[in-house]
Amino acid sequence: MSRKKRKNIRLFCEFVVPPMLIWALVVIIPLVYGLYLTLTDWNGLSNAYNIIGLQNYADVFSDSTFVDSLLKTFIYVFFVVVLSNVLGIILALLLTAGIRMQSIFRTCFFASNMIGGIVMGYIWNYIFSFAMTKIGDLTNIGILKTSWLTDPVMAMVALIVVTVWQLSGYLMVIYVAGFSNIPSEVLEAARIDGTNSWQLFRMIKLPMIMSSVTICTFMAISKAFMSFDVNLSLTSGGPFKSTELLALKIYQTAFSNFEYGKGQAEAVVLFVIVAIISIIQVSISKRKEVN
Amino acid sequence: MKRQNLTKALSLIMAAAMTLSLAACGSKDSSDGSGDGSGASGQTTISLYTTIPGKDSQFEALCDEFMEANPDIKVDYIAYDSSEKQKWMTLYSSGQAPTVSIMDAVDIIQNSENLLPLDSSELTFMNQIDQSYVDVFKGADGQIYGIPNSVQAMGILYNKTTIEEATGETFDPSTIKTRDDLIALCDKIQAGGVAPLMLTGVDWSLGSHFLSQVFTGIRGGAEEQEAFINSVKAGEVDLKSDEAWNNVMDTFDVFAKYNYNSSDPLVGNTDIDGQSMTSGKAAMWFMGDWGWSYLESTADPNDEYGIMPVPLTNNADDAINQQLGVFPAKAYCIDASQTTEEQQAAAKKFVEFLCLGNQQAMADLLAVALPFADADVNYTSPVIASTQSYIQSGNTYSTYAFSLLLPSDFWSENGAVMQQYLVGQMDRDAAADAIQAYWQAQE
Amino acid sequence: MEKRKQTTTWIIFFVVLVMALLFVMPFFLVILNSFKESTAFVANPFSLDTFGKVANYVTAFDTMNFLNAFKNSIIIVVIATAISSILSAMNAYVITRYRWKINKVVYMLLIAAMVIPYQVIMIPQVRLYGMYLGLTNNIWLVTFLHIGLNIPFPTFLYSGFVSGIPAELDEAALIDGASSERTFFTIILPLLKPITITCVIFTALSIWNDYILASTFLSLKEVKTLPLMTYAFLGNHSADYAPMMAGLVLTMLPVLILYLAGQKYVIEGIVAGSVKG
Repeated sequence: MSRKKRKNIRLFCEFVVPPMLIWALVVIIPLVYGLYLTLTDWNGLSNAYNIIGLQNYADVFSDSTFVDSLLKTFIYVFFVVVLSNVLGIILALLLTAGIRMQSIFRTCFFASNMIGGIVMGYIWNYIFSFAMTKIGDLTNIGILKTSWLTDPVMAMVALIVVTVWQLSGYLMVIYVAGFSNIPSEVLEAARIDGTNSWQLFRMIKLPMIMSSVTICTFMAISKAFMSFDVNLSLTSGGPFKSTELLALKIYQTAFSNFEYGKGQAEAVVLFVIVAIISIIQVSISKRKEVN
Repeated sequence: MKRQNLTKALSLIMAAAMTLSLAACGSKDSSDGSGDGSGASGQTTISLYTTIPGKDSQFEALCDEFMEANPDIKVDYIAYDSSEKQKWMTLYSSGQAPTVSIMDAVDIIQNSENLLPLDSSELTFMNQIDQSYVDVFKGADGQIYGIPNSVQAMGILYNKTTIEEATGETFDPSTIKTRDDLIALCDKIQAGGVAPLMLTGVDWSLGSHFLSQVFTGIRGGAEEQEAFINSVKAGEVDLKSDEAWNNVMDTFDVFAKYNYNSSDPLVGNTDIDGQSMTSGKAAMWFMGDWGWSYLESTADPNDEYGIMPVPLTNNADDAINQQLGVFPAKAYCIDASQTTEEQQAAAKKFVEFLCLGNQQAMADLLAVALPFADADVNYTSPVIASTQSYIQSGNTYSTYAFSLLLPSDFWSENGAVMQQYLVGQMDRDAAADAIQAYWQAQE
Repeated sequence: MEKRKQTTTWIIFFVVLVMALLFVMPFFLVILNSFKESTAFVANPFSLDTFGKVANYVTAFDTMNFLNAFKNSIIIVVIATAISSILSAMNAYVITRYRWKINKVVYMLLIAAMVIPYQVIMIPQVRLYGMYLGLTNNIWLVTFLHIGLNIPFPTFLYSGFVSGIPAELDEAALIDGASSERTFFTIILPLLKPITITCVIFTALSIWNDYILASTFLSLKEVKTLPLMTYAFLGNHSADYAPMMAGLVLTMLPVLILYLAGQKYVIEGIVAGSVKG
């Protein structure tokens, strides 16, 4: 017994401790230090700072622009999560239907992930401000004539479009895997029973990929809440701060305004919000999987 | 036995990989260029951080030239990437504070506790710079913390050729003495089938540059500007009924009315706007002499370009309408908090080199005028000649408040207000209230 | 019946084709304009004006200091991906196979870690590793940080896969007298090949495209990675568009090749893994 226990401890030390140790050094220790910094008035440059307790958190919650930005972030996250998952599922369905050049198409849809967020945001910025307006001029389609990035609502739409464009390709890969994993006998049996395509999807395929849905929704939620790169380079929060999402807001507070402690406190608040929402989402979808 | 050996070997490999990766991280090998500043060969290592993007190779060439002349000093060049302040803060936080930085005035003053006071009796070339430019970098303690690297002017960039072709008359900018003069000119240009004016609807141009005119020369000198801002902060002034505010905004309305970009005012791309100007679709542009860099690549060499003041009032006797707002945009500063005395001495030498060593190369790099009275350089930009003529005739107004008193988030916060005003989402009184609220929150 | 099915397949094919074209449109524009003058791009991104300017690639190659930046990127990506994948596989094996209480805690910690915004730990990392340990402009530090950041997600993917491998396999080996370590390396690890390829591709992509971490820790040209060097094309409220697009194409090619090489396994890996998570 004790021999076994010793062996187990050795196994734990060999296999679990090294990755967790590195992870703790890289993530947990800075996180704890970061929590400490939220209790200070450090401006990011100075060598000296004072402990000011929870003042930064009080400032965050009494700041109406923070609450504004939080609401915008919720709207953005909602549309991104829903649309990227729906599109991801549709793409995966189409790409498991056995059409020609399936793998080339999969590459096309996944390609958006091969380029970093900041640069991608710039490219889309040029597309919205140079290319789409050009198409608008030529075709006389009203909605394309002015840049989407200059209207508060359309700029948010543009931000959602670009995020969905990137994320759905990523989620598609996971959904393709989910669909390929459905035993073909199940599908055959259903087909012999005369189920139509919609019923097949609704009654058989969808329930069988629920665990993929859990993972994908979880990933979409965390990615959307932390969306920063695209926000910075596509709209930089504009026009007139209408698309300033939380992660960008944190960055602005910490770096543009020299209020590091407050920016850090905002980031901690974001972390807590994402954690709570993710826990709720995972436990709800896990329950659905059991059914 | 054999199996155990295999396990052992594998765990050994893993352990080795672990130690290696950790050791590799722990070792400061050749890839680490900085350090405490004293290299093995007695070299002093300093660093240069620039917030002037897109000029890396030119700056590196200047660093090389300096190192060749000073073999005992090594300069590490740190390029700007996406956010100038984030990078600066990161460098300070990591104990890698750049020895020499090129920063905006507000940032230099904000960080003055970490910077080295610069003394013109030691760095005598500072005397070549107009005192009012140097004073912009004066900290609360009366010491100077920055040496301006350039002098720029904001105003109306114009394409003289386009204007003359559209109006059929010769154009002399000095005839535009009032807002009504500007309107009359616009009407004539418009009749010629050209968009008279252009605004780039971005927050920095509207919120920082255009709006700053409410707080600068129109108030008088530095003291008047400071006094006015203090009274706004204290809530003693009602901006809505302030004469200068209404004057500046009346002029802004003229720009908005005759704006080439009026169908989509916030599209805000300097490259597209530059091409609109060089192709003769727009005649005048609210920008500054640095705007030549947006025109240069497509400008017709036969076209004549220049810069003129923005007529802010409707009274021909107001000197401000004939004066250009000239300001030192960025400055060199030297860190004192994370550097040794040798590094600071080397940094002073290096700053002197950047100011005097190869002025032609620096002028080409910056594409705006150098602030040194003795500078003998040829500017490729035709607009600079225009700026210089205003400077030489003394027709400039103080931009003290613009350089120093506007907080570092002024442009983004109030740029948003000006954008809303431009697209009609906010009326003038609401804009005034929003800007006033911003100031009062600064107290 | 057969015929109807064929028609449906063709309709699907065309729908997919149109969507795929929309999806790759930005890439098409990047490639097209990487062969034009910057001014022609600004004037009209769709035109073929000045098309054929290969010199942009030469400019991009020089401005980005391409070979050096490529070398830095490759070192960081290869080492960090390799170590994080193997460590995550080992980690996942033990925490999924052994129902110890502490393993549950470890698993929950890792899941929670996936939602930590990088901003929360960015400056603290800089203070701790830069100010106190003096490690800046050091690609090994960046490699190390990437390993740490890429433990949770791969562990999560691996643990789904491991739980799909029948437990009888390792039980048989253990009864034969093999140690758990040996069982893992000789029996389990080879079975993990598909999910390993998935993890490698996801991890390598995220590290290859990483901007913020690299920009935080690397400021000298000698140590900069490719994404950082694309900034060399951005000017003051303006940009040198054409060479920048050429630079983007050069930055994208290596990952495209990696993805194409491993594509078959990516799906296979997730097929076998994710659904059982």
